[in-house]
Amino acid sequence: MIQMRRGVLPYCVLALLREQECYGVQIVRSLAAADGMVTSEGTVYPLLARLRRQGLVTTRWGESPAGPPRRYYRITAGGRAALDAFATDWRRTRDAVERFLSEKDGVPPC
Amino acid sequence: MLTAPADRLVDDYLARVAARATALDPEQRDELTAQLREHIATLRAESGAPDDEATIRTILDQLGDPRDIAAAADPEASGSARGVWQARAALLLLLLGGLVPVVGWVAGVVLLWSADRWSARQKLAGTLLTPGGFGGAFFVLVWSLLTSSASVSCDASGRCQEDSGLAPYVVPVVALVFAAVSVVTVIRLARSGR
Repeated sequence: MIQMRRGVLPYCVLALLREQECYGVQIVRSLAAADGMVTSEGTVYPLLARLRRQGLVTTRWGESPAGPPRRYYRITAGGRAALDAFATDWRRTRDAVERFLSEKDGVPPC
Repeated sequence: MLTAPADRLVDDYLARVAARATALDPEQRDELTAQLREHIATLRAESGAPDDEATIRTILDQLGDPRDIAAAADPEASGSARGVWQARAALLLLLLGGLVPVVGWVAGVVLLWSADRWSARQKLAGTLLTPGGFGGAFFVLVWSLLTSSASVSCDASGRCQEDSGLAPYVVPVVALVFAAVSVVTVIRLARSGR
């Protein structure tokens, strides 16, 4: 389960950034608010760096109200494409798993 | 210039993360440190008690163990096949590498230190407590058996008898002890670490 969460976490970040840009602490907070998504907050930052290296997000420096300038993360076209591809796969997998897990209808006979 | 205790806590923490992020190149390590520093600074500013030690410790606790952060930064994330095989090869060479005199065991030590899985302390134990490993002990044992046949003492009239003192037994016993310690150390390394 841990492996699966680790696998989908990048896409959760991309989905968060789909229509808005966020700075580091905001992203960490949003992920932490979703049950079981992160173990320790610090592990989100290497993930963000990797997304940036892969060209899925870009960063810019922006002013902050009461402190040093901070890094804002924004999704790229490549990030959007990756997110859409993932969403299709995820929904297909999710529906398939649900079919097996739900006892009502749809569990195929052996 | 006096550094406030709060700032020292932060610097120590970031130093620990940087020290463990050996899989990153310097640029990536700097980026990670900068990200974490920014995170800490933001939360400190929001807290209303930016220099309070308790505040800092809470922030750092929630950031997490430096080892976990460094592990997340490893491009070959924990559990990767290469990392696992590297660790296994290290253990094998530590134990048996001495059979290829010196070089094999040294290779084991090099792999041991470059593996992510153990702390520096564990690596030090692995180096010091497996001198030559099983293979090295084996060679020492063979050498001592070969040379012990020479421990014969002759008196003036030419009558010779074998030394029956303890001396001939010292080296084999020491070799066996080394071998046993090597085996135990390697087993402990295999069971421990991340």
